[in-house]
Amino acid sequence: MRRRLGFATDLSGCTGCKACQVACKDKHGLGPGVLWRRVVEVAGGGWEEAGATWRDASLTYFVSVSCMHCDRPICVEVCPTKAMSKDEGGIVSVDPERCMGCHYCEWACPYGAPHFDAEAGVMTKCDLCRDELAMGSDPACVAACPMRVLTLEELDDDGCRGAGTFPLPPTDLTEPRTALDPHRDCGRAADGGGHIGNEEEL
Amino acid sequence: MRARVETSSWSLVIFTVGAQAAAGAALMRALLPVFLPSRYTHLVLPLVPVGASPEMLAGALDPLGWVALLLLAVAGGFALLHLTRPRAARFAVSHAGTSWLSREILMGALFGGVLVVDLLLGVLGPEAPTLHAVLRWAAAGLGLGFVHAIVRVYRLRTVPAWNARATPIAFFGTTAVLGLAAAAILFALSGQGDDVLAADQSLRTLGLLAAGVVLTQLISVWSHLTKLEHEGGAPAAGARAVLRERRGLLSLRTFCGAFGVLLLLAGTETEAGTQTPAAVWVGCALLLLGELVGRYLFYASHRRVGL
Repeated sequence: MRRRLGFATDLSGCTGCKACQVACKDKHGLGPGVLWRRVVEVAGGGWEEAGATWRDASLTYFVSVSCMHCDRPICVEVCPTKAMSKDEGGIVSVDPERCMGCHYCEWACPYGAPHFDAEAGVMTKCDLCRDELAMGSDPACVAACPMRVLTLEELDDDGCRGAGTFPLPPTDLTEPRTALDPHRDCGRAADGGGHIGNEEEL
Repeated sequence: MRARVETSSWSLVIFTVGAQAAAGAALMRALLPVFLPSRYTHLVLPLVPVGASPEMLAGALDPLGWVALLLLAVAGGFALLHLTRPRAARFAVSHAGTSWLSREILMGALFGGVLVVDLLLGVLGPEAPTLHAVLRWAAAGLGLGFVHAIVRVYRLRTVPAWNARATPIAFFGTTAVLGLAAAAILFALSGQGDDVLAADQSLRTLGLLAAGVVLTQLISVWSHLTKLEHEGGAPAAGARAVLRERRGLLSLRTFCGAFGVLLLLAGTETEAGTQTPAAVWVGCALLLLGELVGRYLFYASHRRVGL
């Protein structure tokens, strides 16, 4: 059984502080609008009448999302120049020398992982902080998480636990390599009670 | 910020519509000599001087072929405009094993290559009718293959609005309707001032075929989007982007298609010797505008599943 690195998140402990997002942006010097990691705010519900009173039935949780380094990466599949590739360790990355800026990977990725760097004129994306891994350190996002709920783990072949959690897409599209421990509200959100609260940020 | 394909899509709109028009012209170039042989020999390019010798018309010039090549060149130019690093386009066919975009570029190059060889042989080479027929059909086949590859580029499993039967209907429909329009314009031009055109009804035949294609396209896109709108999530968002947020453009697309074919048909209702192709010109221009607006709406419907 192959074991490859992937991000794991315990959604019940994520406070949505966005330290992971900021650390990623800072480490890689990403320009305006370029986010390799984004924190999705899921919101929904409201107040419900319960007999003579009202109770709080609102829901809120956060999903920190970056490239899932999928086992069937659609960005690699569609890229015409082979600029997108997946290495032996399972890391999906972009070769800027081969990228012609056609945006096709960006249209196709259901996680919105490839982000266009207008200054460089090429697609960019999370590479799991390869340089940090080489030194035996954690990726910047993992190191920055104050709740220690975002971790990098070696996941098995069947390791996309909870990856279909709302608002993420069905896992059979790209077979993402990630593990999510769900928040208690994930079920209600998936049943139509939740929506993305920070769409403009993503 | 989430990617919105339409913000950068005008160059792609012109590329895809131009490429499909080129494939349509190449297809007509193969079909017309078979189905309308007497009319095909009267086709001329607008640049050919009045009173040109029959040898010049029959041998040196191949109007629909040159139209196809011109359209393909324009389309290719606009495709390059869409890229931010065109110099890396030298790698663009290196992933033909799995990437339909690579295959599309490869098919486009093959289509253009065969067209150029055929046209240059027509101008410079010796008389070789069999070779020309083979190359003409090869170009038509490669043109259709090119359109098929373009269809597959957009049939992404993560984009429900595109991954549907409506996409090949729309793209092959554009191929047919603009190929017919190109032939109709050349027929109208070559029929000016004589009674050949009115006598053989060829323009009317093209108009009726175009009407059928446009009707199929419009029904297909309306039924596809209406169905998606009830599915929720990304499919519904894609449908709403067209049906609700761009209702005016959708009406314009429908108007252009419907009135384009009506004018094309009206242009055929002329008496021998009094042929005036104005209605044909305007009809074809409306058909082209309808296809361009329709393609813009196609790009506007892009919504990925997930984030």
